[in-house]
Amino acid sequence: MPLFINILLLLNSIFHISPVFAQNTKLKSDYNYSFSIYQQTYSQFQQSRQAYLKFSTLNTQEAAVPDARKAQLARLETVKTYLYLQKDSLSTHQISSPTETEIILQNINQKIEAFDQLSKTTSSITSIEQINQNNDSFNTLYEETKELIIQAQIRSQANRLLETLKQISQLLDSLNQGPIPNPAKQSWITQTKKDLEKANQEINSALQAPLLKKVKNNPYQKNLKDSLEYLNQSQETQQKILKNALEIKNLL
Amino acid sequence: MNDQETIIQNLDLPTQNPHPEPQKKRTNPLASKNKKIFFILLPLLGVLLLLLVLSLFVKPQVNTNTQKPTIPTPQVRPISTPVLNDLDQKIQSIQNDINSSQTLPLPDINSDISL
Repeated sequence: MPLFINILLLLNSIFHISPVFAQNTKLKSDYNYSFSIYQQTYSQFQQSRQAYLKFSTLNTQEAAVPDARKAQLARLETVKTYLYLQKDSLSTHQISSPTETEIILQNINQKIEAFDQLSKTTSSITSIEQINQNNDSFNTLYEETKELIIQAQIRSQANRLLETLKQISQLLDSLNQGPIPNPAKQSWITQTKKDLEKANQEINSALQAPLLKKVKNNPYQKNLKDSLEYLNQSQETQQKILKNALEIKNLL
Repeated sequence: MNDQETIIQNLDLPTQNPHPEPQKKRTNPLASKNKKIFFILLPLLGVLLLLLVLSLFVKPQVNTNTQKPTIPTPQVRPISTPVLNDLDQKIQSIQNDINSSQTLPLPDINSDISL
């Protein structure tokens, strides 16, 4: 009976999450659209710039500045839609550690506001100097944002795995409620408890270790790689538990 | 006188049967009575024996019923097929959750949009 209730709760959670999936799909679509616009405008900008650098006439300059502005605006829109997507992904799995997740979400909101502000400035630029200055502002802001994006991605993946870990724990509890466990079942329960602990430790390592050390050359990629390796290990451990559960369920 | 004597002789002397009947066997009346009782009791004994034999088969069933709550019988409850199927679905659902990696790579944007 408790297993049945758990299954009902799980189904309920699946149906409860479905609107979030719909929202996630829309945000992905927005991001893909923004990125396609960026690719078009950037391609147009490259042609204008080549013409300007080749001829350096007033006409080519007048054509290049608006094309650069359009490309910069499209680039800003692409980053913003990407941040909305990250924010949504993080919000979906924030039950496990609400405080840490909330801090990252607030930081993302701040960055979105900063990019919004930069978009307003960009839309009104008319000179080459403003274009170049704006480009520098973007790069500074984007470098700060990259670190935040990686934090969000790691936290989002970790929260997702913590959720599945919780579901596996509930599964274990429901299977543990039989009258007298046979030796095979008892052995599985003992091993699964150890595996659950291992999976949890791997998630903690993913969250803590890589972000503490700063690697000078390409720190974001290094941090992300380290964290994802830990998260993959946790994922493999959880899959091992479930595989064993499927194999042993007939002996339960 | 001869007639009288003959009559007297006939009276006094017992007449002998030339073919005497064979003497009847004399039966013991007490033995006959026991035999009758035996034949009456035999079916009763048979019925009693039958009841005894039947009681041997019927009695354990009655006892198990009454003793069931008191005797702890270690039993492993088998999981029904629908529950196993639900378990499969649940495990599959968690596996899908684990596999649905949503790490989106950073957008491939150019850092140099300048003139």
